Amino acid sequence: MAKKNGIKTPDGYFDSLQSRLISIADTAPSVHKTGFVRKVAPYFAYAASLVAAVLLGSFILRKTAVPEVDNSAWEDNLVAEVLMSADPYAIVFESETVNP
Amino acid sequence: MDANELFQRIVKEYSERIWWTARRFVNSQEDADDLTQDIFLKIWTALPSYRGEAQLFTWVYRIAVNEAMDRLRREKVRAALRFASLDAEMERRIDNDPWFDGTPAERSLSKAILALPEKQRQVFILRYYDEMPYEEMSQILDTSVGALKASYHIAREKVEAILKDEAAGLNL
Repeated sequence: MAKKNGIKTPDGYFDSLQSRLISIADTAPSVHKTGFVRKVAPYFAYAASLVAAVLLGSFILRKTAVPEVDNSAWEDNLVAEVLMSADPYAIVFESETVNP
Repeated sequence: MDANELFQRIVKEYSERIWWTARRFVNSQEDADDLTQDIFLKIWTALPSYRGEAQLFTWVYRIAVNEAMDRLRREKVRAALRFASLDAEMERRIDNDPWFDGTPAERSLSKAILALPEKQRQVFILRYYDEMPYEEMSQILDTSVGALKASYHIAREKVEAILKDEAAGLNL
């Protein structure tokens, strides 16, 4: 038994620990990308972040835009009022005018 | 040196030292094993980002301390969800540790460390048990040497006060 600061460990404990730790490299090898993937990955990440920014921006614009109000009927009324009062093209029939 | 060779070198050079540090933080043999496993998995995952600017020891130890702190924070949250205290749980671990073979004073010291705030606990463990120089600790914890010396001094005083109180209590 090895002992340090009042804590003991079985003999050969750290040899077995080392073997277990070294096996991490065999059981989790996928984290180490190949040279090509490592070179291309930053460009993919850049493109993905650009697309995400555009999508987010358009989503925010759509959510914050003020909906357009249909004012066409109101504008027609305005025109009608102008016609009635001003009659700039003289479309009122003579019969409708009051003879003095 | 490729990633596999570098990883093997790290395991051979630092695994025992890191295990002892982990053991001090979690106060249990099994949890120290788990934590060491997690630390080395993190090291293996982060190995492609190691550029050699930092010293290998500093880089490895920074990962180890951060992983240990993350684990303790997670355990604290889990304990809080059970309406329990992590410090009380740690005290139980120290009391019931089948691998503890030290003096009552050593056991009391382990318990007194639990009363320290997170940063002081880190500094105390790295300085007192690992005998790490302040300059190395400064690079690992991203703290100035002066601040570390002050932290260690305060931590030491707190631990001494706790041990004195305990001794006085036993004499009553």
